Amino acid sequence: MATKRGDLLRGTLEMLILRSLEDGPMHGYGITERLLNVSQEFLSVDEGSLYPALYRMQKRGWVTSKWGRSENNRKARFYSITKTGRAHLEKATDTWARFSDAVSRAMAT
Amino acid sequence: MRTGMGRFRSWLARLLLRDDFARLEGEIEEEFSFHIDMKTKALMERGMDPEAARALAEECFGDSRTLLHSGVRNLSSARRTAKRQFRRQWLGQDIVDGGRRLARHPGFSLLAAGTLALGLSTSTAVFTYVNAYLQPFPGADTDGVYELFQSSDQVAFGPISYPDYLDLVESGEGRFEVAGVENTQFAASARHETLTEVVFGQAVTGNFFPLLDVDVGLGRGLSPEDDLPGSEPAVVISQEYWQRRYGSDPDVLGRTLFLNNNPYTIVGVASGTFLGTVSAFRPHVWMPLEQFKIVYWARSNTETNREGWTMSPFLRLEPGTEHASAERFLETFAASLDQEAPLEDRYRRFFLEPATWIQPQVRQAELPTTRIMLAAAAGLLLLACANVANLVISAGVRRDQEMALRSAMGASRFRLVRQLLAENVLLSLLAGALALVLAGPAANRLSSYFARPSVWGMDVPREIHVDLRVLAFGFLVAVVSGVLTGILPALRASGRDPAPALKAGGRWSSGSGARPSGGRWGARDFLVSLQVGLSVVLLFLAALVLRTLDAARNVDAGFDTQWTLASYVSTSSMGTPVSEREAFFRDLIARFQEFPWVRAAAVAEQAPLSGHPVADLRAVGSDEPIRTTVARVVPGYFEAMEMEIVAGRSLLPEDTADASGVVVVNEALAGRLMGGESPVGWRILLPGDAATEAREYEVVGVVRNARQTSFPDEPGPVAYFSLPQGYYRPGNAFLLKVAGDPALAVRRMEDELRAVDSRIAIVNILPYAEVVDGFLYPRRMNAELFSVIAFLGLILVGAGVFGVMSLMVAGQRREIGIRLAIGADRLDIVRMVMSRVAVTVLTGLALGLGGAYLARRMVEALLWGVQPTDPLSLGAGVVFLLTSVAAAVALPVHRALTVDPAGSLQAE
Repeated sequence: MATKRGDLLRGTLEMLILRSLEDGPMHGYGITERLLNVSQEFLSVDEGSLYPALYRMQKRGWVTSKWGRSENNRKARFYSITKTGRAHLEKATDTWARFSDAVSRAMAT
Repeated sequence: MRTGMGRFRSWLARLLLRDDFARLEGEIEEEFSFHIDMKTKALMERGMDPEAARALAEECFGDSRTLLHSGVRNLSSARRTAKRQFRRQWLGQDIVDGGRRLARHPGFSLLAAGTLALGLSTSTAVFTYVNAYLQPFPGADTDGVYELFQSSDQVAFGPISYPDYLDLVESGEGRFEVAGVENTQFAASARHETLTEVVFGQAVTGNFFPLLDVDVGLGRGLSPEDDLPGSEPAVVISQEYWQRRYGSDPDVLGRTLFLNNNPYTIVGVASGTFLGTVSAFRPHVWMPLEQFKIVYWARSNTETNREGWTMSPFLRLEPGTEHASAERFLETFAASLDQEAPLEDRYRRFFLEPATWIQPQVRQAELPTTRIMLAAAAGLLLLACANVANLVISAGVRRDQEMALRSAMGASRFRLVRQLLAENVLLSLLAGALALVLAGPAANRLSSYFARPSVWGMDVPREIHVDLRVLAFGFLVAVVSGVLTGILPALRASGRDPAPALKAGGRWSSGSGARPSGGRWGARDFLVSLQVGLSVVLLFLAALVLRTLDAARNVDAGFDTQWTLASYVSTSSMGTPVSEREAFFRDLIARFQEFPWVRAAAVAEQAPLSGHPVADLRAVGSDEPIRTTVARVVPGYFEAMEMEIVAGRSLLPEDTADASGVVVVNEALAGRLMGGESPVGWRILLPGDAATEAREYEVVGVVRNARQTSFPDEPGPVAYFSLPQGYYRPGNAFLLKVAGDPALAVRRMEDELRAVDSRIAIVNILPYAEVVDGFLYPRRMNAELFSVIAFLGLILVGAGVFGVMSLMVAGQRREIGIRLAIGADRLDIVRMVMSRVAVTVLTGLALGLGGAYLARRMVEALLWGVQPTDPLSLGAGVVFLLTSVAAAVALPVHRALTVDPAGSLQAE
């Protein structure tokens, strides 16, 4: 996969979403909450980006969604990761690691 | 953030456009509200008060959610339109949608299409006129046929000499075949059993009919065998003459036609489509060149004279010969002729032109006129476009919401522009179709101007037709003007931020004038300024051509044109010998002077205001030749025509053939001969030609300048010789000054001439008022055309100013209301409203004056007796314009003054 900077950055959100879903099905709001928590309030996901990303990923077959009940018994749409999604996550994680490594080294010198 | 939001919007928009949107809409709405609820709850848990928490949560979705709501709930029809746009990204769909939108606003559409049609029909009509220059002569196969011309320093498109023609035929063999038309448009007296008349004809080489595959209606065309020396004299007559004189009798073939007393056998009738090779000349008969030579070349050296301008060759290129190689061949051909038979004062320049019906010299002479006609038509079209653009912007205000939604839903700017353009192009195509319907009658009207009365009666209407080229032009111009009218409004509408229009919901549609309320000078004002400017230029042009017509009309011809009739009387069919011609015409004058209704009669070789021969005169003892119009008139002519002798004496009955030669010169020639001193008593030398010897004449008098060959131009040098001392042609102009209305004397004059001898041929009897009128026709055409264009322009400007002012007043109701409520004077209100229009109109006037300044050189060719900087014309243009603006402003101002302060405030 080409590692153009724009691709990588855009891919980051998708990667983070996929990573969140690895722990189990989750609704959109849950994803934002989780990202906020694990990043200690650093990664705030803009809703305006989240839903289009989810929609796009669904279209690519990385995630599926179905309606279910939330913890407070409200009707909510739950997203879960698919096999293709996992494969993509693996690749993306690898790319990210290399990128992050390269940036760190570049910054260290 | 903005781009993020933008992406979100376009993503939403794509969702909105899905077929299963109804289901998706609910799901998205549900998902979003769940998200917002959860977030609100979380924020509240952190101690935020409920209202603020919800607001913050909702803000995360920005106006995208508003979009979702308004887009779905309020604007489902717009969504459907937008959906179609997105699903089928082809122009055809744009056009179909444009048509739907136009049909939804029929009032707007008709107004805009009508306005454009005015502009387009004028341009199309003028183009139809210009297009006629390119049309080949009909009734023959002119495909791949060229007409050969030669040029000199004085003549741009001339015929070639007969010897050169023969050499051309011979050397061109294998490259092209040549047929020739003799350049003379001859008049002959045709004698029939009960009447004698003048017919016009042209001589052609024997291969002319077969080479050009001329359409023949009856019998056969002339053949090479007809054109051999000693052949039976044969002629082909025109269909028009066949119908008029022979009642379409099919037995006409084989009949004898007497021309100038010589018998010719009619072998064929040309079809109705073939009218000759020169648009302004429709021959009645075509004669083989060999026959023509016998009669007309007998006393001249035309057959051997290399200096002559005699033959118009038509070339049909052989297969394999290209136009370029033919031109190259002509260059070497001309050079070799210059070696073998050099001309006196120049080298030969031969070149080819497509065989057009309207001759290239006519096209060239009219070029300045056609150029300014095209420019004026383009100006009117531009004015109409500006007007429609304004209409579109005004209508666009009402459609802001629709545009904003489409833009919000991710339609690219290009796409929105394309949609609006498609709509406008459709509009202008509609207008173009209307314009093409009008182009036919308009072209007929223009062509009729060429059928003007003349002494020779041969001026015919110019054939101006709507053809494929005109259709293509109309289509192209319609598309271009559609784009012109659409581009500004489209860019304007697509460039704005959609949010305010969306949030305002449906309120905009009612308050159409809300936007332009402020003092900002916008696109619409600019468009009105542009209209004002164009209109000033058009009005200025119209005033100039009207003043030209007026100036020309008031010119004094220098002889009596009020009571005088002109005619041309020929004795050819009577066989009167040369020696008896003088007596014949003297008797004719005496006989007519007996009648109580005749005040005076005179004979001249050529009628005033018709073509005359010219000669290079010299004062004896001077080497300077003076190009002079040669007139031969009977003694008594000046008295009959009321021309004043200003020095010396008039021509007298004593100035007979036996007496010494005398001449009366006009003031122009007197000035050239002696430069101010009286030339009376001096002698001049008239050079000889093939028929006459050079001869000296004594100047016996000077006559006041009179228009001799054309009207209204100042006459050049004219020499009036005594007709009895010169050669009497078989035909001469016969001029009568009558006591009553000249128009009523026409019939009487004809009857009396026939009573003298039924074999007298008469060309035309015309009151001089009509002849003068004939010369004014091109100016009359200009005056009419430019007046119509300027008038239409004025109406459009008025409508444009009215539209903008009305909208502005409507938009300022509130402000006006407040001002009135706090006690503003009515005058203040008028001042407030008018200040805006004043800026616009003044800007327009400045544009117009600049345009008029630029146009002044171009317009010079149309003018006569008026300067292109004529202040009166410019002033008239400005006054007309301001009057129109005042009329357009009256109603909006009245509305502003009658604003009810209380009502206007409540309306907000």
